[in-house]
Amino acid sequence: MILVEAGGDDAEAFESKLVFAAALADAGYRPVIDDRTIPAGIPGFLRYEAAPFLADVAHLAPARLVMIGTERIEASRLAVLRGMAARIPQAAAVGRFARLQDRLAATALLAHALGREPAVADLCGLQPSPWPCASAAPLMARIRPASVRGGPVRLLLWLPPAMADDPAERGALLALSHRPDIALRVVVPADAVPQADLLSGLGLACYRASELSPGTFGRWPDLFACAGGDPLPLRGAAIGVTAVANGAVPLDLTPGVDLARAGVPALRGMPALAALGPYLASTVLPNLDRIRQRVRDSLWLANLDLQRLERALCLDPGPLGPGLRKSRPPEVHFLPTNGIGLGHARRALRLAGALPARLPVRFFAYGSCSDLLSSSGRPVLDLLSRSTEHGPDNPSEVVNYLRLRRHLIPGDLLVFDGGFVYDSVMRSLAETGARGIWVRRGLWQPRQANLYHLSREKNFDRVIVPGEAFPEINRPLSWGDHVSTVGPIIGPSSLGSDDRQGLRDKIARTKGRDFERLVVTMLGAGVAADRSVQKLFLCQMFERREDVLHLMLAWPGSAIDPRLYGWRASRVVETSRAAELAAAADFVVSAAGYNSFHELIYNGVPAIFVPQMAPYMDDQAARAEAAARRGLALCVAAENLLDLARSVQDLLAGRGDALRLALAAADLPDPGTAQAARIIAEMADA
Amino acid sequence: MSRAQPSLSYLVEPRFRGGTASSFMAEIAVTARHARVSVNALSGGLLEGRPHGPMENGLAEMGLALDWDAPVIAADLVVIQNPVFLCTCPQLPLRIVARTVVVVTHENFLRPAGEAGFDLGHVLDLIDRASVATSRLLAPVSPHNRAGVAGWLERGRMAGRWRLLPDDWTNVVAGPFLEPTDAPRDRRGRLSREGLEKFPSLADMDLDFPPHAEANLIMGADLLGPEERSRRHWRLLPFGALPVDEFFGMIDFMVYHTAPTWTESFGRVIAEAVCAGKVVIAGPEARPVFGEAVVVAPPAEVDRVIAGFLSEPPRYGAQVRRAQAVLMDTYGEDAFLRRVSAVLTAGAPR
Repeated sequence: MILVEAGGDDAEAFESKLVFAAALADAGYRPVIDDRTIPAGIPGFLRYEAAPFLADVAHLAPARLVMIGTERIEASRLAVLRGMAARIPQAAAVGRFARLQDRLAATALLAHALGREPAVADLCGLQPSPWPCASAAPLMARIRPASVRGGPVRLLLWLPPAMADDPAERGALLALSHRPDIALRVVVPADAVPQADLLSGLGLACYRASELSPGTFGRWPDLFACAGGDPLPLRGAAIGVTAVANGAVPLDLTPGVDLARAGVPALRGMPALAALGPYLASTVLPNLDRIRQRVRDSLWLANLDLQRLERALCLDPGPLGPGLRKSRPPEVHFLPTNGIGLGHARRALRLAGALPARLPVRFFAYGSCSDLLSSSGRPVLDLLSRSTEHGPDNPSEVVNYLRLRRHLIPGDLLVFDGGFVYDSVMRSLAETGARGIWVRRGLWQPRQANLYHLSREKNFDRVIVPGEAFPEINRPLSWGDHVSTVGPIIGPSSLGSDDRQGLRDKIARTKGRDFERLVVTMLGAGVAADRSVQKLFLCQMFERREDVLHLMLAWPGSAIDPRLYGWRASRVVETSRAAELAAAADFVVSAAGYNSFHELIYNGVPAIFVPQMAPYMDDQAARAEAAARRGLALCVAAENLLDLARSVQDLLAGRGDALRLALAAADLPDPGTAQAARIIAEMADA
Repeated sequence: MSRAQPSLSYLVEPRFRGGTASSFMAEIAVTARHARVSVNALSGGLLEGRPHGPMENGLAEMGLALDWDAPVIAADLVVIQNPVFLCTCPQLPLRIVARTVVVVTHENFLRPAGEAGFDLGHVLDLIDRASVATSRLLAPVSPHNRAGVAGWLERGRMAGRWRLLPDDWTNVVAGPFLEPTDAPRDRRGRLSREGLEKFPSLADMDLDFPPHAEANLIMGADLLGPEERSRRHWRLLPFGALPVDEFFGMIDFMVYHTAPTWTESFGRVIAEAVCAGKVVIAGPEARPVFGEAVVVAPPAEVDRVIAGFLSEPPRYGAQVRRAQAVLMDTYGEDAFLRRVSAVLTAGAPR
């Protein structure tokens, strides 16, 4: 275990530690970072990158301390290290010392704090021409052979915001992105949010530098191009170093040929992106192997090798060495998010159930759907749900990231079902080499800010869009060979007519109330959809009728308003078999979530839909209105209780039969469950 | 007719605050009676930005002005005190014209494990290039300091240009020598600059200053961290928080160990404690400089040593008086003059 320290204690020093720790980890070491050194107010994305390395070092005995940026040591760091000195048997100081005196003074400070002389590595000697970036981190990496892969050449382009703002440059990028021989990814600085949204909106695979770790970016490309005149920040430099160390050819498109002037063996290209396509086509791509070999033979690359530093410090990763990976057969993992209801989890269950039995399936589950998924008999790995109790920046997602990252391996297939791709999902997919399918709803509210949501599609190999029953509300939002729109993903028909009557009889027995009309309410619960008033209103309506039994369905364990208890005609039923009970009902009062809606429509159950609407939800109103327009259901706004009363009275008076007939005759698209399962199975087998 | 007094010009760093500063002030009080003394200083350098120490006021009290950034220092003898302050200077912005240039090497050239203490080669190069002199001498301040300088000279490229002064350029310890208490108590303390090199490991500090001591006063604790601050039985004070005599008035035992990566070249604070009438307990590296003036004990034995003195109070007074006698004999004004007179008179005009 290596404790990575930096001379400074600011955010820049902390990020330098992360970059160095990642390089050590990539080389097979186990670096740790003192969790007390997280500076206040660091950006949230750094928490993900720090999490694998953070440790409570007060209770650890690291074998060695490696301090980077030793040329500038803060007294506060020395004081803390002095307190730990007895538990650190070996120490090393790494720095870029302009003068001998700087080296002597800095190492003396560390020596005195620790009570022993550190090994010293002077980067001025080890790496005389570093990647141009002022950083405490040694910008070095293990040199790996370029991976041989077919298909288009992968080009990763570092783009400063000013160039992204330039319409001409954007046009050139678009042209480049359409070349069949190039797979283009664009990285803009972490704070270039508008530019990233703009480029993503144009259909480019554009990332903010904060979305993935530098190492993850850097291991992808065959070519790493650096454009614009802005000095490359540490993240950009770390991406470049990782890329070149992993076999990418550096392309210097900066107006001042910054890379080439610093000694990087970079090809020099025109700063204008319009020239890049022809340059790649005529000069670079035809000669790529030879160019790559020249880079690999360069002294600069030899000096980039982290092993030089390892040798200088007598570091040895031990017998495990780099690249250790768990070994097990690849699996299919379903990760449903669950916001208001359990729709994602239920869809995941259906898809998993439709897969060939030979495919090993596992679920990642947030707390509220863990029981539901466990009921399938498949293994379930728990994820941590968000809570305001955890404090800001969603630390639960960092924990989930660590769990996903620890579990996924190359070859796994992660099927993510949700509206927004969490950082934990995006990062773990990119870092582990697992493949991804995004099951993404096809119905979005018109003014939802979708660009940011959609931009995360770039992290998935495939997108499956479960279709809506009614074509005018299908809004898949993106297109391409990787996007497959399938029919509505619904479960099998829940009840035959005999079963239905049997279930009604059983309900009457168990609830101790005979009825002629069975009404089921599935209005949901929670902050976005508090429907207590509507439920109480219905309870009051039905209490006057002796012929009605009203069941209010709730997920087992969910919070239930105590006022819903004590009614004669109305009963709270905690159940995970909502679809069956709904199919047994004469009519249902329901929210218009994807699963409930389609189950009711496809099972021919008359329904009054009371849409739930929140900025982050799908467009339930549009869905419900589409059914109402066709005379297949009634639709009532949640706040309009008189309409709700009228609709209920209509259905009690017999209109439900008309709806049932209309539903039976409705021309609905074929369900898409089997088709979606086929896509998943094909990818799992690929 | 008696020989005229030589001119002696010092080049010093007045922003030094520790032993170098106080030893220089004690030395100049002596040399000013035997030479025509002037004092020079350079702005910039290693301690750029630090406040001036007590040296400037002390000189003013002696009627001496500090001459800043003189383009030329010309004297029979030019003495550069602790040249470490020049180690970050790219060049020396002055000329030195002298019969003899002496560099008093207060700072050890080598640390205990053999690492260089600072870039001495660069410093001596600077002085070399800036000076016109018939002789250039390196003057160690103690046997240990001498060993480091000699070792460095032997393996370096400077041996031809710099010679080692045969006698140490020791500190002057002129007193006053205070009477020891006849009723010592277990009141312990230590005084040093704030650098971590001055402090032993935390485990040794715990042994030196245990909870059962009546007092543990640590002055110079500016850079100590949260671990040290969690010791409620220690009173930690910044360097200079109390006048030195007041500090020594609050303790009976000066317990002084340093980091294993550091050895005091002289250890003037030990002499100051002895002058103040205190028993000094220190590591074995103090023995060659102070002989019987210190009680040598590792941290693990400090308790036993102190308990011995407390159980026999007359031994306490005897130890202090013996120590003061050693200092007077070894580092008094006469002893200093005996050692440096050859250099002083060699520089005198005839």
